[in-house]
Amino acid sequence: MLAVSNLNSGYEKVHILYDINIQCNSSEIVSIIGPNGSGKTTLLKTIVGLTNIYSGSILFNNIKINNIPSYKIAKIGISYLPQGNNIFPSLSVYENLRIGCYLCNSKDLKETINEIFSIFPILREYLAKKASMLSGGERQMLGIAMNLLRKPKLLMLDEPLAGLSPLIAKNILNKLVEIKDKLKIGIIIVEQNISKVLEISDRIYLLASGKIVFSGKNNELLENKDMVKLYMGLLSGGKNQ
Amino acid sequence: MNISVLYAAIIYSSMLGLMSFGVTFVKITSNVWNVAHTSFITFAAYIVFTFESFYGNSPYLYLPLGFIIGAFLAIIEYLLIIDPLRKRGSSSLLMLVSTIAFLLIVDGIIDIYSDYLQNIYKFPSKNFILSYLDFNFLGFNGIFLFSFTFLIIILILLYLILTYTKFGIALRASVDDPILASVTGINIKYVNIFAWFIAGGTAGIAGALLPMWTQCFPGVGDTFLAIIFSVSIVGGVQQIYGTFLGSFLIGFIQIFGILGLSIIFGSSILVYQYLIPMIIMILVLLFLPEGLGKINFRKIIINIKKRRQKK
Repeated sequence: MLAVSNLNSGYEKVHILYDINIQCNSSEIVSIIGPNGSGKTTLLKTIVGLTNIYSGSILFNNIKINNIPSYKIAKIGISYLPQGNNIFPSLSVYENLRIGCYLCNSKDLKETINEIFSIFPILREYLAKKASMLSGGERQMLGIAMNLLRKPKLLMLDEPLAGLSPLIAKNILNKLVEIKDKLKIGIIIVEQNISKVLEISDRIYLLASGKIVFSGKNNELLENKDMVKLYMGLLSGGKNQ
Repeated sequence: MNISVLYAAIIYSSMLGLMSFGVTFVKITSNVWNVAHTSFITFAAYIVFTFESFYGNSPYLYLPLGFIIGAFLAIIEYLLIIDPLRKRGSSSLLMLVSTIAFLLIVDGIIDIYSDYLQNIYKFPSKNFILSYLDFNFLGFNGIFLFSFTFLIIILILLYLILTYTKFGIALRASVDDPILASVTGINIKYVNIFAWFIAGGTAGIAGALLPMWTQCFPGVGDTFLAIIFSVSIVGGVQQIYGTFLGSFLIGFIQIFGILGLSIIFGSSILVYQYLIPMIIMILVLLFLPEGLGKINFRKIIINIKKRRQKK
């Protein structure tokens, strides 16, 4: 579904990513992990057309999407939940959902929103509430719900668990697995803390200083003691939690 | 209270509201202080003057032309200057300077055009007023009815569009976070074009009404530049509706304030009336930097009710 090959990108003249190769198929959860400043967010931003691509290619369902404006990338089925600012705070929850469904057919709006309530029932209670009044976990759920309304083929989440309590984080991860199984979509999760996403990931990429230093199954990563030692202070931190 | 003064204050405030609304709207949606906005006002005034001079009829018939010319100029400015600058990552200051350049260009064109009208057709285009063509309905002048009604209509239409239509909500979302809006599938360029279209159109309507209210000449819109920006700042650039509050606050204080001062100090004070909006703007910047639009009136009313209930 998504194939990134030999990608070099950055912001204007600041080169961030070097020869990146990643892949994500439908019904698969791929995690991109790595320390702060390793280029994880830049990778997602590059896929949705928010950075400058110097070389390489991004193929989505065999169509090259390099340098396509982000609103068009949303139209072809790639959905992106940025870190932190991932909802529109001055709009109500309902208005956020309506904007999430911006590309949907107006006739199906009600039905599509109702489908989302089956995954996130709590949002139904807050429809009239301003999004800025929601808690961190509720905001994250709203953000994911907005992305799902577009019925994406690929959902990309940038640190969806940041700042959440372990209980809410676990709840959101369970929801993601449920979404993957139910909707058969590909999911890419960017996380700093491997321990949080290890269990649900089908494949893991480890990014360091803008380069992929490991790719494989989660058990393969754990077996690679040197790799874990070198880059995954994160892992031990996670185990302690 | 003198009714004729109240009448004048409503007309003045409504005209200020119509003239200033676009400045705020563009600032909110595109983050640009568009100085060239006043040239749209002047251009529309000249379009109405031209059509009235050639074809006669009531100048109010040409209001739609005023809207169209204002909207057209605004879109030209956006597409030729603002959008390319934005793509190059230009700063807000650079964009502000570019709008000054556009203002001077349009003003120059209007100057040439007014010379042309005067020299070729002998129209009094360097200084004209059309208020003698105004009508009276139930004791109200056309300018009163049109300026106030248009302001209300724009306010209601805008509220309905921004609250109930998908595009309106998308516009508000783009104001909140343009990057997030863009990855959600919203074409920010279209949203901006729409905002500039509406902003220019309302300036055009204000310009088309101008000859019915005051003496017009090349650059007449520019004489309102400082007041328009005061209204926008006093109203606040976070809330579109703040402009309407700002226009009535400044309009009423200016008209009634100068009347009061002239009673005390004599009519010589009248020439200083334009200092009033500046003083209000400075006071607002000092004590309410985000403007009137930021005041949560609903919360204030609830608090007052609660206090009353406690008593």
